Amino acid sequence: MHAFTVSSGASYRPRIIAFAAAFVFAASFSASASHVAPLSTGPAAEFEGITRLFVSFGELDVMAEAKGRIESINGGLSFRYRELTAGSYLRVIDWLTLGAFYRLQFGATHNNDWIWPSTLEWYWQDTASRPEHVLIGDITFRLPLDFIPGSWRFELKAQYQHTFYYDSYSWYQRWFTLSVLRVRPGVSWFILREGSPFIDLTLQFDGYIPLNFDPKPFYAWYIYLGMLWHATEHIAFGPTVAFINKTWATSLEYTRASPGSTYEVYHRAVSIGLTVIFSLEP
Amino acid sequence: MRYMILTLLLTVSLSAAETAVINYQSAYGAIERAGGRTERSSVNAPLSEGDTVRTLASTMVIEFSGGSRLKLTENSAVTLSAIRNERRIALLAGSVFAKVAKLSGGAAFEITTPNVVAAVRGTEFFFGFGREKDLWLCVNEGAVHVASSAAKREQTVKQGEGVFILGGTDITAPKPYGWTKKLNWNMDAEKGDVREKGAIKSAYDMQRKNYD
Repeated sequence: MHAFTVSSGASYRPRIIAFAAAFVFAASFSASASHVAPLSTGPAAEFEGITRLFVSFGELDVMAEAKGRIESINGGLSFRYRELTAGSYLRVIDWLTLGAFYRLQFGATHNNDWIWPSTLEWYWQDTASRPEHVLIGDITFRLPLDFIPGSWRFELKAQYQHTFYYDSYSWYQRWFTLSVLRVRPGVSWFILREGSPFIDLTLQFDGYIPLNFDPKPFYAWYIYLGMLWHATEHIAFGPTVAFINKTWATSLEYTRASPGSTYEVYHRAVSIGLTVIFSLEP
Repeated sequence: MRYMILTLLLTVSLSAAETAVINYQSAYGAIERAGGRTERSSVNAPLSEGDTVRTLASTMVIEFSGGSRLKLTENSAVTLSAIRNERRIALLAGSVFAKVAKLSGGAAFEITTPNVVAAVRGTEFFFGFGREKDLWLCVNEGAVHVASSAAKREQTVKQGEGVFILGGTDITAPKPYGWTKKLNWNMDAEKGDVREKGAIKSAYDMQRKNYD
C-alpha cells in the first residue's frame, strides 16, 4: 500500500523503466545461466596447411614444422591456430624411433576457453595471441607388411604431450598444464616407381587421451586419410582429409556460473589440408 | 731337366695368374666346388672356375689376380663362371661390391644374373638383389655398362649414379640414390670394418622414413 503512495507521476515513470530494465537483466541472466553450455556443432568444413623439413644425419632426423588451421568456432571460420615445432627423431632400430620436440602454438582452444565475460553472451575465447608451450615425447613403431601384395607399412605412433600456458582471462589469471597421450595407429600403401616411393596413401586413427582433464577416454579423435606425391627425392606434397570429433567438457567459467552443472558437447568437422614435406640428406 | 723346370715354373705362374682366393671372411661360408663337393670356406682358400661361393652369415672378399676384388655381403651366392682373361661372375643371391683393377686389352669383368649383364673395366660398383627379383646397381668409381637381354635395354651408369632393375629385367635411367651413400665400400680389413650393414634395405626406406 505504501508503495502505491508515490505521488508524483514524473517520479513514477523512471521507476517503471528501472524495474523493466532489472527484469530484463534478471531474465537474461536467468536464461544465460541455464543455457551457457556451448552447443554441439558440425559437421563443419575446416582447413589446414602443414609444411615440414627433415634433415637426415644417418639415424638422426632433425625436423621443423609449421602448421596453420582455419577452424569453425563461434559460428564462423576463424584463423587462430598456428604452431611451430622443432626437434628430432633417433632411429634406434629399423622399426623403432624415439623423438623429442618442442612446440610453440597460438590459437589452441581448450575446455576452459568457454567463457562468459562481462557481456551477456558466452563464447569461445579468442586465443590467437595466447602462446602455449608443448613438450612432446614420441615413440614410433613401423613395420613393413610384407605379407600383403604391394608395399604396405603399419605404423603406431604414441606421444606424450605436455602443454602449459598462461591464461590472462580476467578472473582466473593463472597457468594451466594439460597432459595428453596421443595414440595413432595407421597403415600406408606405397606406389613405387623406379624403386622409390612415388605416391603413398595413408589411413590413420588419431586419438587424444587426456591424462589430467576430461572427458575420457578421448577428448578428440580423428580419422585421417592422406596422399603424398613424392615429386622428387627431396619434395613430397599432397592433400589430406580428416574427420574430426572433439568433445568439450565443462569449463571453469561454467562451473563458477552454474555450480554443480556439467556438460559434454561435440564438435565435428571435416578438415581439408595440404601437406608439403622437404627432405634433405647432407 | 732345365727345360722341364722352366715349363713347370711357367705353368705355376700361369696358374697363379688365373686363380682367385678368399682374401677375407668374417665367419665361414661354403664353397661348392665345380666337381660337386661342398666344403667350409677359409681365408686363402683358392677358388677355381665353376666354384660357387655362399657367404651364409659371413661377409667375404674374393681377390682375383691382378688386384680386382669382389666383396660378398651376408646371404649372398656367386658362381665363378669364368676367372681367366674374361672374368664372369654369376650373382645367384644377395649382393656384391666389385672393385675392378684396370684390365688389359681384351680382358673383361662381368657380373651376370639370368637377364642382366653388368660389364666393367677399372671401376668400383655395387650390384645386388633387393626385394624378390629386383636388382640395384650403383657405381662408386668409373662406369658400368648394364644390359638386360629380357628388356633389350642398355644403360651406362656413371660414378655417383645407380639404376634400379625392376624384376631383374627392366633397367631404369641412371640417377643418384641417397641410400647408396650408406654402402660400405671398404674391402680391406686392416682399414676398418668390411661388413656391409644392409644399406640396401634402406632402398626400400618406407618402413624407416619419417613423414611427420
